[in-house]
Amino acid sequence: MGKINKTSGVAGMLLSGAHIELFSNREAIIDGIRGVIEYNDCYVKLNVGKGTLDIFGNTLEISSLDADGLVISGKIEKIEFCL
Amino acid sequence: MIFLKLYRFFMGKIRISAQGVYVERLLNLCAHNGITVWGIKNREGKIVLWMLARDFFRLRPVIRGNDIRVHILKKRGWPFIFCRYRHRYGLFAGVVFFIVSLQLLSGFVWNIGISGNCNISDREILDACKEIGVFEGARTGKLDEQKLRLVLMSKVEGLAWAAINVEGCTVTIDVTEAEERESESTTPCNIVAAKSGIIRKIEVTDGKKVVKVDDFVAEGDLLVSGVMEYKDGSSAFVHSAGEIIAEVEEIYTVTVPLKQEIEVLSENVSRCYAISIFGLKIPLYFGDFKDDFISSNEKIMLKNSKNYLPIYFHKTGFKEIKKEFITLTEERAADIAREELDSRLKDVKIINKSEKIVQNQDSVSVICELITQRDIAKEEILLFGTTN
Repeated sequence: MGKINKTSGVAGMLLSGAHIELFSNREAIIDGIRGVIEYNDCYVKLNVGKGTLDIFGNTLEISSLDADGLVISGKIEKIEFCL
Repeated sequence: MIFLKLYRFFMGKIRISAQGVYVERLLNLCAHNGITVWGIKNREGKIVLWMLARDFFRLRPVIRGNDIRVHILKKRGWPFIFCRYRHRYGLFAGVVFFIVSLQLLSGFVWNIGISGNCNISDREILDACKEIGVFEGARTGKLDEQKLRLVLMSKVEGLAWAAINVEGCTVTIDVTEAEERESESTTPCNIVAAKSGIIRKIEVTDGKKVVKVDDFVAEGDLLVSGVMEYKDGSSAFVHSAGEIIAEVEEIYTVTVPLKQEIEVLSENVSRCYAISIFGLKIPLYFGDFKDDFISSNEKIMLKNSKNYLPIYFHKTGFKEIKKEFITLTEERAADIAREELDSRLKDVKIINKSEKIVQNQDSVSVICELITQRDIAKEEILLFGTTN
């Protein structure tokens, strides 16, 4: 795994960073996060290692959370990377 | 998703509320310690979430020293239901009884379905099945389908093929009936006269006729011979067949007594009910009805969409029989005698008829002298090696 992480290029970037999947603006599946920094109904701030991932919206809910990632559902309006 | 919900239900889940200075830390601690949480909502600074009941005990040491307070809001799932009813022994006994009953009863035949029969009645096949051990209440494990189907075919006449299929608690009997064929006898025989008379018409389909029209024949005389002799000197024995119509003189006497004992059914009907479960008939009445009663049975069978269930209701009606003596008038007695005579001569062509009524002391006799035309052919098998 360490070998793969050290590889350069797009593959290396994908494996070391967060993996985000969006289902329209209703649900986001995010893997590879380091932790939840802040959470309320309209804002979720996640630690993704090399920065933070900010998700803005309404009635946001963390449907599931485990060691691998989380699922956010609700009305997602904006996603921002802060590096 | 349904399996996940079932898993969570059987493992037990709790809804907790967490509050503190940095309550998001609880989520990170859970994730890092392998505690899965779901349904996380933020309600006025408090975080509300679901987790498995067993993980709650792992949560306490994790959050210790982090200034986070946790409260249980809801408890759901099988462990909590079990805990709530753990002192209700009757309930558990009922569940155990239900499971044991289900297991035991599933080993018996509950219903029997029959298909494919046309001329042979269901009752006849069911009776034969009962004799060979296939009945409602029999153990399904003991039924050898291949062996029983052969026994069934030998028990029920007219079956060309039969199959016994056991599917769970249902036994299906598929049958195919044998096609009926007219048995043509080939046994060599003669035709002799069944009665004395004058022959009026002869139609021989097989054999050699030895009489002709207008001959007078006595009872037992040979009419058609089963021995055929050919011009080349050879001979053959055949099964004689034909119709020999003859005029026959007959006398019939019918006597009707004037005093008669008749049976009259009373108007009162006593009804009795019984229930039959797996062939065990349980009467739902007391007492017994024996002589002087006539009964009419009605069997009400419970049926699901296709097959009969092994539960029957028997409804029996009993009517009392009263014996009464009546005296007939002579005219009425003569009428009864004539009716009986007519029923005897229903299929006979009458040429001439003369009737005489004789009145005795306690009866009336109708004497009828008839000249009729009827078939007097009677087969008589040829016995070889005897004096016949």
